[in-house]
Amino acid sequence: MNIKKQILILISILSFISCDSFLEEKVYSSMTPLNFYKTEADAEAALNSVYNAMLSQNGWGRQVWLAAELPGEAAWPNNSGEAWRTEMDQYTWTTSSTGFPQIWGQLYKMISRANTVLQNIEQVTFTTTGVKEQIVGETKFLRGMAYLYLIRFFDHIPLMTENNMEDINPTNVGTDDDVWQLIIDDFSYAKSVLKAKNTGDDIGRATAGAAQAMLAKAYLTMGGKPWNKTENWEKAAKEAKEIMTNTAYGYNLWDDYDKVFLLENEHGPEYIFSLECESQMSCGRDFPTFTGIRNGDQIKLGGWSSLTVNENFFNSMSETDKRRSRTFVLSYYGYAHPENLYTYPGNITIPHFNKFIDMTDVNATATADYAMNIPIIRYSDVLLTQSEAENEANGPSIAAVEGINIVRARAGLEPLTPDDFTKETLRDTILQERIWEFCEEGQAYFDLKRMDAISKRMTAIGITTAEKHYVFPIPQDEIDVNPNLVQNEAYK
Amino acid sequence: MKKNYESGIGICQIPKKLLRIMKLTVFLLIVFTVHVSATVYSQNTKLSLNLQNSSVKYVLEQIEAQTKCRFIYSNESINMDRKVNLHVENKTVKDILDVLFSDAGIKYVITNKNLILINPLDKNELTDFSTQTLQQQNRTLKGRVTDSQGQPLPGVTVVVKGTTTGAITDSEGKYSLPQVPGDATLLFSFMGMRSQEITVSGKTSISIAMKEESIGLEEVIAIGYGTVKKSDLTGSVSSIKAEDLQKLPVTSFDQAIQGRAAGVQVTQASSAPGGKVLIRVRGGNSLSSSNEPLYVVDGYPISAGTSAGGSGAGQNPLATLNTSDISSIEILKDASATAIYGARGANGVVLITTKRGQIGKTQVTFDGYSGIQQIANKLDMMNAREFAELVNEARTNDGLGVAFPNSSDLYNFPDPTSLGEGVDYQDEIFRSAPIHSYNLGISGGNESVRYAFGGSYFGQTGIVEGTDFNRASFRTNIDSKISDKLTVSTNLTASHVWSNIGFSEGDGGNNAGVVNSAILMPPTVPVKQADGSYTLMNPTPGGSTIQNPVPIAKLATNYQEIDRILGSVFATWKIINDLSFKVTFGTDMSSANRSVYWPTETVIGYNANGSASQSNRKMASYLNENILTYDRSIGNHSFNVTGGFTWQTFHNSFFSAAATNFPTDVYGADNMDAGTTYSMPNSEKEKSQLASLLGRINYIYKGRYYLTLTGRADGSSKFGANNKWAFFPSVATAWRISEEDFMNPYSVISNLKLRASYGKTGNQDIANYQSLARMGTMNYSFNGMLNSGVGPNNIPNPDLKWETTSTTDVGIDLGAFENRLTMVVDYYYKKTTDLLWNISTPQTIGFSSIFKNIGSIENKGLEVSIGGDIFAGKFNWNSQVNWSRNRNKVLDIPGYTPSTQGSLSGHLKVNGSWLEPGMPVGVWNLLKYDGVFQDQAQLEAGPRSSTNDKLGAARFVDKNKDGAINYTDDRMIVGDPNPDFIFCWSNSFEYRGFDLTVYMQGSYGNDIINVQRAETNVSGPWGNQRREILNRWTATNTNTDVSRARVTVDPLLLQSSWLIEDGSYLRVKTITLGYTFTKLKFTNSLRLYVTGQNLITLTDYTGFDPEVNSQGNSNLQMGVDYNAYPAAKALIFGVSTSF
Repeated sequence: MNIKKQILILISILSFISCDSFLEEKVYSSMTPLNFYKTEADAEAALNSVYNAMLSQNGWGRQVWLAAELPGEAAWPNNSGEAWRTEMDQYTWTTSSTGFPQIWGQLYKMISRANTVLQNIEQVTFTTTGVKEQIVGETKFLRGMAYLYLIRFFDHIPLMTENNMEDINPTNVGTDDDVWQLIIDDFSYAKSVLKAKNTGDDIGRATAGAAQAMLAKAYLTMGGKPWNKTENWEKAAKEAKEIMTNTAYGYNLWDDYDKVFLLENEHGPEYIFSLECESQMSCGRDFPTFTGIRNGDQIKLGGWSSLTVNENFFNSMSETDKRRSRTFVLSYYGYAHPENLYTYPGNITIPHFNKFIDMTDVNATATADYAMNIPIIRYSDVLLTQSEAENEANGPSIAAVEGINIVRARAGLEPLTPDDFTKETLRDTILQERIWEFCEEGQAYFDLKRMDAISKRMTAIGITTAEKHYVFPIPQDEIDVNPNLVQNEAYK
Repeated sequence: MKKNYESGIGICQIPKKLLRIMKLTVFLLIVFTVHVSATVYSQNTKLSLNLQNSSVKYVLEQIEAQTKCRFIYSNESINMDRKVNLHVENKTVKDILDVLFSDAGIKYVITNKNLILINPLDKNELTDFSTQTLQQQNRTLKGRVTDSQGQPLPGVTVVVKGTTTGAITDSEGKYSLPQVPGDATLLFSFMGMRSQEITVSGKTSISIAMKEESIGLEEVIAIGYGTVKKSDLTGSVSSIKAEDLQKLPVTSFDQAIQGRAAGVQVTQASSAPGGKVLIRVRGGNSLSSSNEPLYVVDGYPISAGTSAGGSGAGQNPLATLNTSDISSIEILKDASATAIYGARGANGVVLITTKRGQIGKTQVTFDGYSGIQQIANKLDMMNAREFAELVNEARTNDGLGVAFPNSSDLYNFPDPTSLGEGVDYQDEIFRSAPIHSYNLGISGGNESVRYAFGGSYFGQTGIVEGTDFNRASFRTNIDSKISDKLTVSTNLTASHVWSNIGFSEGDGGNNAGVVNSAILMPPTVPVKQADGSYTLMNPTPGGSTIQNPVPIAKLATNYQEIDRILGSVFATWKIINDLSFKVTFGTDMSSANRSVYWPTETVIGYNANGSASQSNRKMASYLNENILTYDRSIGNHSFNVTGGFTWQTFHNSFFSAAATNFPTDVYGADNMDAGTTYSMPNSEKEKSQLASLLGRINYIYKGRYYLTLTGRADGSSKFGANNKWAFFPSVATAWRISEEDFMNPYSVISNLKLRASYGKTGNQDIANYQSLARMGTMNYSFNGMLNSGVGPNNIPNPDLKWETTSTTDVGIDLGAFENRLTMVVDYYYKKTTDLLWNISTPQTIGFSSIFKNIGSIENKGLEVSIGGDIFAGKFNWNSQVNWSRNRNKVLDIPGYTPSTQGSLSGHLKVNGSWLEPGMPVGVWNLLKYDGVFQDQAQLEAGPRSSTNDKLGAARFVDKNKDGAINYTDDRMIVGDPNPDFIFCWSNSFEYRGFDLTVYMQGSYGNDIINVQRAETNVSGPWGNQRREILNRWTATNTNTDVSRARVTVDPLLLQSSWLIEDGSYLRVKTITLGYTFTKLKFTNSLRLYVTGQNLITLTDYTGFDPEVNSQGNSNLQMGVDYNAYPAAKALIFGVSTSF
């Protein structure tokens, strides 16, 4: 073989591979937008990713719930865990407190996923009629809910929709009306297309009733502080009343408050919309662990005592209130050692919440794997919304005590008589009723803010507050990276 | 004398004066090849030379380059720099030499080994010598010279010291010297071996084994895609010999690198059998990408390897390779050396060359050792009574009732006065553990086939109950010469690893690391309850949920098996004389299976009613390389040009499944369908590709001036569509000053070389698919059923590309006193740009960050290695010192706000390091602990961290002087895990067959964040406490810096310098004492030895071991000690022999 021949062979060996296609990345076990958003099943999976955003520990899985609960007077963090919890409890938060960017980020993540569904849904081929409306309706419900929480926490927020998803530095100046309009539109659309009641495998999805309850909540919020758009009180009252009279929804209170929070009743007539948790499928949460008693042999995997009850709040609830034994841990027999009796007061040192403790919730394999659902809105909230809105719109009346008296009746409390009240005293009474009814459920901050009651109620328990505490600061991390965001006035 | 001369193996004409000089200078300056035996070669081989105005030396070099002849001469005896003109066509070597030396009065002798001895004939001196020697009582002396493996060493020069009498050993290593005075001294010398002087003392037979010289300039070392003589190196390369590796009882070779190479920091991330080792070559270049060097085994670049599942600090993938198979390790450090590996070269490259067969008699070697290991250092914890008293004191301080005794549970909470030592949970899980290793090697070959086979077993039982590591492996390397132009070779190693990983490491929290539990579990807690069942959890009120480590260590299963095959076949085709082409095909395939079972005696098993999982990972890479090499010398110019094309693909797939709720524990994880509840299965598959073009030119002018140009273009699938290809160039120059004429007067300097290099290398070691838009699994449940969800997971970045590191290196190589003293000094500056970092984005777009090339970081440092044969002769003492320092600094990350990087413990809320431009990576920004409020005056003076602060509460430095302690405002840099310098000192001594090696290494000026202190030094019932806490503040013990007892842990304590300790240490890593028998009939050599490992450590560090890095690979979290598997000290006995 001569040298020329040899070199020819060499060159042909070297050149048999072409590099361009060789360096393409082939994806196997994950999806990319290129091979997704094609079928009905894809659209449903995309919708489920929006629901999934709620489950995160930065979402309703913990921080959203804590951000709304800790500033209230019922709960305190028992000097445990992140510094942020104490800051929320003691009203010492700053623009850099760690929880704010977490809830901000998670709620916008939920909005982003919803926008992705809405943006891509047109390229999906639907084979069944009505499925598209159902998916869009649920998506808008979830987006509306994320915005409703964001605007209640932060007041002035950027508006991200499927049309401006690429805008990475959106502003929060002058967006308030548009955000509110989107919230109203999203809930209204969802109310118009979703089913009154889900059955079978759809149980747990958003319904028309859930959308209407959230719509009532949105109007109620707009009527109160800081928006003070009083024309919305009537609308809130109307929506709430419609829910109470719409038999297709089938909402009702359990006769016994004890039954409300049981695992077996989590899809009963009282939970309108909840965070759905399930054990052993990476969809569980740690609410029972979080509020359970440390070394208390109270639940299967042990508690942390990380969200406990203020002693004066414990004392504020009448001993005759039928909610007392479900709201607070009064006594129980040990989980592993049933021969041991635990009581408060007694061998339990500080008062604990009891709502999310259910000894039948036993399939969890880890502390964050409990199946206990967490209610986001339940029927008694609609009832109290009706009373509050009616009172704000028209003052004390038979109509204004209708809702609250249903709630009080179940609690074993005397019904209210409108003549005993002024608008202000009835407002205070409704607030007090809400605190007893919804403590531990992540409502407190919104109620205190809307009813302009932070300074009054906090001063009463020895915590100093200022006007700025009626809104959370825009997270400093966000201001740092987005030149178009403006900090809320009180925090500048 | 005349007879010797005529026989052609003597060098008796060398004058006495010259011999005296030769003691101080290198005697032989030529590579000696032992396997050529063409007796009439030099007479028959014809060659042509056309050289104008060339030195004699250069002519001889050209003859050496073209023939198998090798010259032996002395610079002082003949003028090698004499310029000649030579033009010959088709002449024999003899003819050419006749022409060359005809006028100069120089004679030469051609031996039957193609050795050509050159010397001037000085008749006067010869006469004088003859007269003198005749006057003495002389006799004939015989002997045999072997290498350290007992193989005969032909060609060794044996000279009677102070005379011109000499001989050269024959092919069996034998020599014979007539007329040797009884009081003479013999000088044995051989290129690449340490010269030896032996006194005759009346003996008639002297046989010796020669030792390889530690730093031989003529030694050939591996560089990427080729080899080079050490003297011709232009880059910064550290070389480690097999000899150094085999003296240590290590699981994997990377452990043995520690301290052997300046600038290379080796840290044991986990001392678990087969545990992970971290290697940083000249500091960390990357924040988010890997900082591990590239490993290249016999030319095959291997990926990190496989480890199914994952467990704590992880298993070391390199532990699948057998250290005894390795003949040398080269660590390429500067850009000139690593640029040939382009996008994978930035973190340095470790080249591993395994043993190959040599022509000659078949050689069989056996090495084995056996030993025992024990925990090097147990922690001093409180006993039961001390702990119970602390708990009661804490509760009393906080206004609670005492916990001991508890009348309703006296079994767990008896009266403190009735308690004694209690349970020592460390003793419950630590044990003495054996370690074994056996290696058998067979090698040999002839002209056409050379072979090396090896088989080995390594078994190490862990000092923590329930852990072990076993490896069996074999290797075959075969080289077949098919024709003069074609050689085909194979490398194949296959190994099987089986290992109980156990659950030794890991966070307290929800995990169940037994090391953590064994320290924290209070001694008051009985191992078993009254009914005979294991205690599950720590029942102490206010305590951490510590799981009982005993049933976990003894009964839970965490077992892993790995099979790995690393093999390649390559053909070398000599196209023409100077041009060869090498094609390689190879693969690295491994699969790992991990099975886990938690029986019902453990907390996890109890909760799940038995919990099993199995996971499988399979990884494979396939490689093709096509390399052309052109090697040519023309006149004073010599070139070596390498170029080629390579491609490699990487495959990775994973599968796992889990089940719970078992009717019985007997199946373990082997019958998962017996579980009644199944968890979601999990699987994934990935692939990536790398294509490269590479080239290098080595140019040498006059053997003194060196220039190396290297470049590699890499295309990687991992990077964005807009940045698939990148080019990495480097340039290096060197000047061998010692070869210059003007250096001749300074004969004490045997080698002096200046080196300088600059180049760019890359780091592409990130996860696959980072540039693409990826969808994630985001499920949700409805009505108790799982519904699959899919949503976008990241912001795509089509511009994503390599991190680029530019390195400047300046170095000096110095050798003095015949290279008995050597020194290498290097200074380097590295700047990494296009740093891959998850930079924050406004979260309003749904993602908090985007993975981008942004930011820069620098590392600069100094490395010094000094080695010396302090004594050589009958008593040998060789000493080697390495010292290196590295300074690391983040330069710039545009758009980044300095922040704390992650968390070291989620449940303890201990923060990770602080990252800020201008500072080194890894520093800790925490409160500064300032003792306790010892008295009322101090308490009133403040600053307090809380209005509730009491006497004896922890006090912190008020940085902003506002009178109050606030974490955000008062924190400061309180620690730095980067050492000021690291060093190692090894000494080996030899005397009459005995050898002693003492190897010390250490680190100075580095801090450790001892996260364990966040649990064991908190003065409360959280878990058992260190005995230092006995000195806590009480009303009667106020002069202390340990805070008062309290039930809840002060959270600021865990975010303060209370956790930081000085991690400096000096450790006697190994001491080995051996004895070699040379005169045994049945073996060539037999060495017995005993080694002690980790026997002495000097440190102020209070944890298990200062050599720790719990966070494994993360460059952001260095110097973290959190439940690391404790180090063991070991004593082993070994034997190595060859037949």
